[in-house]
Amino acid sequence: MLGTADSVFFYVSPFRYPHTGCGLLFAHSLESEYENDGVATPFDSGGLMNKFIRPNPDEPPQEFLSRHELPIPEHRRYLCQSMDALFHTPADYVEGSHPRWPGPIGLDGGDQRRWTHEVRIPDRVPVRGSHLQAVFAPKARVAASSAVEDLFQWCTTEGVDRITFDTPRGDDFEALRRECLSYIRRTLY
Amino acid sequence: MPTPWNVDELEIVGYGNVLTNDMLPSVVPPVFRLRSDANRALLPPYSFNAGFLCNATEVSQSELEDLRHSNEITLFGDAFPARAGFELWVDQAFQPHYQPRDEANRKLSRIAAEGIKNAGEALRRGNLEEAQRLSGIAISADDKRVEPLAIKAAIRRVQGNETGERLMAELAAPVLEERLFKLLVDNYCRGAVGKQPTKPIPASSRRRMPRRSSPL
Repeated sequence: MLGTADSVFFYVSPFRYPHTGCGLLFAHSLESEYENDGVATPFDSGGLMNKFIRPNPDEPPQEFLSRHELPIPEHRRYLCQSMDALFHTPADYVEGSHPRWPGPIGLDGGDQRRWTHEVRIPDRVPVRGSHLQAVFAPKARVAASSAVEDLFQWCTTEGVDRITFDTPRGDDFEALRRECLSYIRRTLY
Repeated sequence: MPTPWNVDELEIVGYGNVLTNDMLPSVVPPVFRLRSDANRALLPPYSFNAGFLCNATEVSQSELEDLRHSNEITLFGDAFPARAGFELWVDQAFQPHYQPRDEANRKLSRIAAEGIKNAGEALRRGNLEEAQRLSGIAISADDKRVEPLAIKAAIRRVQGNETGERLMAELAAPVLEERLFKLLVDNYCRGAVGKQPTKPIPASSRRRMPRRSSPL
């Protein structure tokens, strides 16, 4: 319906999609490689379907989406300004805290994905490439799944950071989110 | 701030994951539904506090169905009452169990212990594939146990896969120092080496790419 079905989606933030237990963190250099065909929006496009409330409900979601598309990596200038102007501190964007000011987009409802920048790249993006910065997975998944173990072995030889964690009570996403935030705090702050 | 929900007023309709064979057995986060309103479901991530479910995401029945169709959650045929202090887990036959947490932990510990014992025996017989499968069950049942990692490391050593062995040592590092882990791997290898021809994977066969620096 939005015309985005064949894209690969990235959050320009820590992991924010709640139905997952493993994560891939790419360096921003990825955007430069796809600047000709990738695009960004200052919100999660999927949220336009039944999650976010648009300022004009009569405007079709696809039109709203295309009106807010930004080139990559230039959308980062807007992101930087948003982090400075809308949030109490820029780190609040990373941590997932609500902004102090709603900003000019006019969306309401949903969760922090309402203001999280999304990058979409058509077709496919190789995981095993030079832009992969870190991989995150529950320890049991690395040990029990051949595919995950194989990726982690590749990361070992390529110097990609590997973050493994226990998942008490099976709440993989909460552990993933915590580990990702902790990694970003260590790396960036 | 989302409303906290009394667990006794909820029922369980599924879990917030889709499992494959190599993820079993597994503790899973339940998908709850209000007993008083079948159209209001509550999804993970969430937390529990004194018998209350906190910070869950509320969705409608049709959104639940959408998530099931996109293979993001699993829904049961029948709902059953939620209980505070209970754990939902899925066994190797994909059968769900809902038990007091201590009871579930004891059962999973037994499955892990049995998996470790059987994996060790399979390794001694030289059946690496079976040893690998059973050690996977053991680590899935109890990710605090270090023996399944040592068995996997022993398998990788027998296969001549140094990177794989090192990776298992890395996974075990938070709970067992490297020297002791190596002794454990040596011990598992003792009965297994010689039964499986090894073919080392040369490091030079792996393509190296330049790394870029900061994330985001």
